[in-house]
Amino acid sequence: MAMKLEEQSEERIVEAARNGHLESFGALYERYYNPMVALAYSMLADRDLAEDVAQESFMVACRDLPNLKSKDKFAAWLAGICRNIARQMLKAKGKRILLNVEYSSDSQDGREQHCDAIRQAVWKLREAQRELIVLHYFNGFSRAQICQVLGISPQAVNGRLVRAKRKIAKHLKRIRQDKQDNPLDSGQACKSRQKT
Amino acid sequence: MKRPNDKNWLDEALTKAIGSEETKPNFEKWKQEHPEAVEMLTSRAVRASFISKRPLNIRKIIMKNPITKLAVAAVVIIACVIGLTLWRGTQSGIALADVLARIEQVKAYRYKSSWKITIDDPNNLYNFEHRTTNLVSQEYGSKQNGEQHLDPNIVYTFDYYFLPQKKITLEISPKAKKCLLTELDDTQVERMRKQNENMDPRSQVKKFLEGKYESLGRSTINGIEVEGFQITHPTGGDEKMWVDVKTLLPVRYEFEVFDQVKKRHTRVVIDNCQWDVSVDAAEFEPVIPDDYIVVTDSKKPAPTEEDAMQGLKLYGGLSGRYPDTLYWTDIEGHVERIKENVKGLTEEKRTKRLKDIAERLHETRRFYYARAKEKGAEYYGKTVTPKDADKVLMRWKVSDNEYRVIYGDLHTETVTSEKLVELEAALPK
Repeated sequence: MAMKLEEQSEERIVEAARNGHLESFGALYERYYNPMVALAYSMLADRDLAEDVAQESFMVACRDLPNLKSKDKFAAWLAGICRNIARQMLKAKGKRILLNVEYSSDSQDGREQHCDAIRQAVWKLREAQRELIVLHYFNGFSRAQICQVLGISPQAVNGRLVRAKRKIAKHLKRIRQDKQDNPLDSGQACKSRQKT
Repeated sequence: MKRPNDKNWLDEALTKAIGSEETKPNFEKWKQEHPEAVEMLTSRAVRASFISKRPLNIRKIIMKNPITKLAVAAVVIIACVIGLTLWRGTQSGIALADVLARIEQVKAYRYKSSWKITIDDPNNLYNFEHRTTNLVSQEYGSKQNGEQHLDPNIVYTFDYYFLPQKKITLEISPKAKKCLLTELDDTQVERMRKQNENMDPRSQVKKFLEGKYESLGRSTINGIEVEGFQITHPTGGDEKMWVDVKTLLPVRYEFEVFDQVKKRHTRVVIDNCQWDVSVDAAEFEPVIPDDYIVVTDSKKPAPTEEDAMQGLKLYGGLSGRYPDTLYWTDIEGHVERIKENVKGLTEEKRTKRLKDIAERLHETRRFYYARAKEKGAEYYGKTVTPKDADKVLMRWKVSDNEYRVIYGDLHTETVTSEKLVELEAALPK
């Protein structure tokens, strides 16, 4: 009896997709679409753009699949395509991702401020650490998936995650310290904003 | 919110700050939005089903066959020529019935052909040459390698396969690094089989029985003792055939005719005939290199006149002219040349637009070539532009005395043969 697609090894699915098997390519699309959105989001900080990049990544993958040398490295190869497209998009739009912390007189929910501060901390990380953090927390991808997409070992994932979280915690602690040292006038709130 | 010294607080905070609702990937939607990707995959699947593991030897094959309907027509003529091996002459003592009986035993054969047309009109100099190497197998189909010279500087080289078991024809252009795969339905396979039957010497032998011919006596060709025969047609033109006196199989055929009205000289030569050749199934398995583009004419509905005009309209509207040719190998090149005319779009959208134009032109091509052979279609895109409202851009026959005409400005009309002659006389040379 023929195996279902999900039961087949990924290498066989990739091989079938390489030979033009539409259903196999679809299986790869469904397996890696969300991780690619997460990866692109880590670079662009914009969900809509991240989805555009993810879609385009599969288009390029479809075209270049015959050139993929190692069938067992499909996810990492696709991630490379995704990064390139995200970079091109940033370049084309002439934009940089900026997280500005601004003080405004608008009042803001404390929790929202805290979320913004965390996002700011994440986007201050180096690209490799940021990717990992976003992949881990964006849709709750498994360690195995993250290893495949980033092309690194589980040990490297763990180590990188620990270091990244330490940095984030340090950054947040610094923000809290700054607030304590420089108390704001009443009515003002710390507002962080992502700029692209 | 958990206190900072709670070890899980950061995980929860990060999930809250970055976490997003998972989107269910919609592959069907992606396919709809990226038809070119679907086509790429489909082409690859088709190619994979034909790719043999043998090393590519296409480039070593003599690139000799322009894969055009004209080529098929030429083969038909050539086949007729082979069929003309038949002669009724009895002076040689070789009986036609014996030749027929012998040819009916042949399961596969090879031959080479050349077909040359020249027009001796200073206002319309024309030189067309078509050379092929052919392999015909009752079991597997037919295969041509050839080249076509439309003028001294343009040579088209092609490989062409008709594979009835697989219900396809395949044209490969090594120069363009493209191949055209046409899927056939049962009716089309039968039509092509019948065409090939016309190329089958047995059919020609039977037809030749009705002709009158005279013996040219015995001679030697390449060390083979042959008997020659000639048919002179009342309307002009000579056909000659030389038959191996031992095997009763044709060795060489020539046909020559001069059309006084069109000042057109046609000469066809078939030689290097090898009969009863053994064939390997692998010879009918085309090898398509990975870097070739596969254009697939799948069993789409036949394009309509409106479909044909759409491609011309889009191209003409952008470039102010029409594609010089509708050869399938040229379409993408024509579109590439006008890409700078597509303005105001992102690179991605421009690529999609150009791709759409190429697809529409392929429909124009399919429409045209479906009429090129049997309906005398002609296309004058090289000299007629969208501004030429009174000039014929394309025409084809619709009845004994009527032609359908698409003019340069894409208005259409049905005209009589006489009117068409006038219109075409006024075309730029």
